[in-house]
Amino acid sequence: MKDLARKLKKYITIFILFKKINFSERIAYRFGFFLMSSAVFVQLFFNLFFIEIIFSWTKNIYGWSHYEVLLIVGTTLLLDGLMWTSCAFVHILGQHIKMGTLDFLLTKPVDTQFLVSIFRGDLEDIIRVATGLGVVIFSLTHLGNLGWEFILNIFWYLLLIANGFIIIYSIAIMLSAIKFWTIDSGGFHVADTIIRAAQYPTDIFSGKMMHFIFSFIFPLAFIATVPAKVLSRGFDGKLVAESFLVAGIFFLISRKIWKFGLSKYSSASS
Amino acid sequence: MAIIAVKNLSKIYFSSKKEPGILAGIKNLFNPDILEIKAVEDINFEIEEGEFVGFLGPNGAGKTTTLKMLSGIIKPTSGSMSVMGFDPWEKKNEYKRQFALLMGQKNQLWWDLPVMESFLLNKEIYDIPDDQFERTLDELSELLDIKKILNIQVRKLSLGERMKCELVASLLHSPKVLFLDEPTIGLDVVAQKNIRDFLKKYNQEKKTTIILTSHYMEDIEKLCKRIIIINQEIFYDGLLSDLIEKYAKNKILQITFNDPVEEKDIKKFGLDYKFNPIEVSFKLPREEVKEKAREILSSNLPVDDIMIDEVEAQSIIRNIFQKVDKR
Repeated sequence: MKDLARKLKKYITIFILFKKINFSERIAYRFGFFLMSSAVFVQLFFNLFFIEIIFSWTKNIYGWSHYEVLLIVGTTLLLDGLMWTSCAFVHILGQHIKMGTLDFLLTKPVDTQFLVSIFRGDLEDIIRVATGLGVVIFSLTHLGNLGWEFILNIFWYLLLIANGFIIIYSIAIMLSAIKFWTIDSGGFHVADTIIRAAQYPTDIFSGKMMHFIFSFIFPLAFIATVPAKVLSRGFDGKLVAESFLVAGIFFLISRKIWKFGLSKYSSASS
Repeated sequence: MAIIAVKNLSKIYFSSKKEPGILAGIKNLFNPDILEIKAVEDINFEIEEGEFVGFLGPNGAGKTTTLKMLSGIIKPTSGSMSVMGFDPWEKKNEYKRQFALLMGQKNQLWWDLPVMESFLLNKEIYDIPDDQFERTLDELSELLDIKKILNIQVRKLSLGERMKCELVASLLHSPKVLFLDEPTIGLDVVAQKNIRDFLKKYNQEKKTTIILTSHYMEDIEKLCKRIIIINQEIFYDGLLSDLIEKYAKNKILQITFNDPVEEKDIKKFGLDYKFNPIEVSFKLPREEVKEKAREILSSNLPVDDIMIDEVEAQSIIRNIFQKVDKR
């Protein structure tokens, strides 16, 4: 137990150090930093603008009111931002594999998947996290059911978005591990697309078959829709249990795929 | 017991043959020709604790591949290896804590940050206690004379300075085994010598087991008693001095004269020589050198100085590489 605590402390320290390094590296080139930050702003603006356009035509989408949908959008932004600030490995793993720079991470006495995951973080994406949080709070004030039960809902919401994060992360790892075979450093941003798709209530994919696919095969539902549902409409035992199950299974599978991919790593000649 | 033991180790890479041209590229997409490239084939060696072994071989001989297998980076196709009792491919953290790999052609320091940041990161990664970290860093930066550059961004350092810092980064956790892959590549003669002197001292003081690959014969001559010549298979494993004795059948006898001499007076002492009127050098079989030197001294030639020298190790190794490559 003491060992585990020490290990956890070590990993947290390393995580913080890496984020400090990421940040110092980013601001080493000031112009680039401001450019990237404004790009994030523009993207965010259009993102929210389109939602507003949709709701200027209709009062609800598949039973989801305007502010409930905003809650999902805010949650997606929050997760999206957290993902890119903490583990933007998708952008760099291909290069590591192609150039053989993974070599050094492999010789370090720390879990390789952990090191690869946190190696890069795009700190300008913290803007997404802040905006996401803002949108979530803004929608909550309009939904207006603040009471005792609501505090409990927040607790469940936090657990569920943690699962949402694990799901996004696991999918990104699985897709990135493909690079061990393809050795292509080019963009492979399916993970990005999946996160974008998660900002719409998954109830729009109606029908039993679709429901199953988007809950368990591409578990979009558990990224943002389910957390938002529990936050605005209250605890749902079945959904919470499924969320933990899906997150756990996806994480385990992603780790297996990662390890298998790593055994195919052939490094680059010196 | 040997600290490093390698048994019947082989590594075969599979890659698809890529011919130039778009059409060939498309054909390759659907019906690739798979090539087997043998990087290392059935090699065996053992290294004792504290040894400083030179790994030699032409480009593409499998030196780096072997070091990567010993570091647990790539998986051997067959055979077994043990370093400090660990199988590197199991990638145990206890193992990783006790060795280091330095590659002269790759950079592990953070490019845009001061050197110190990379050192601090390694301190956390390797769990180095504060006092030990400070002591080691102090000692190493003193020895390598990098105290002044610790707070400078890596990208602003010269190659020589950077390589010194890379060395420190690899040694902060006091590894017991050190793999050095061309640590002096691209450095000027002064920087090369600095690194060489440091490595020699470090190995003597810390008893660290070191495998070194280098294309600079001087590195190997100055640092390694034992060498392993590899080209897919092991071609030679033994003392460098034995190799020189075995392959250098000749020695060089060099004579300088006080006054110019004529070539016809030189000719009678041997056939393989380089002549100018005040200096001549003979290439002679080892056993004849002393006798010839005596003969010349007792002749009436105006000898000023006489010197007996080994044929350069560099040219011996070049000959061996050429032989190895022809197979």
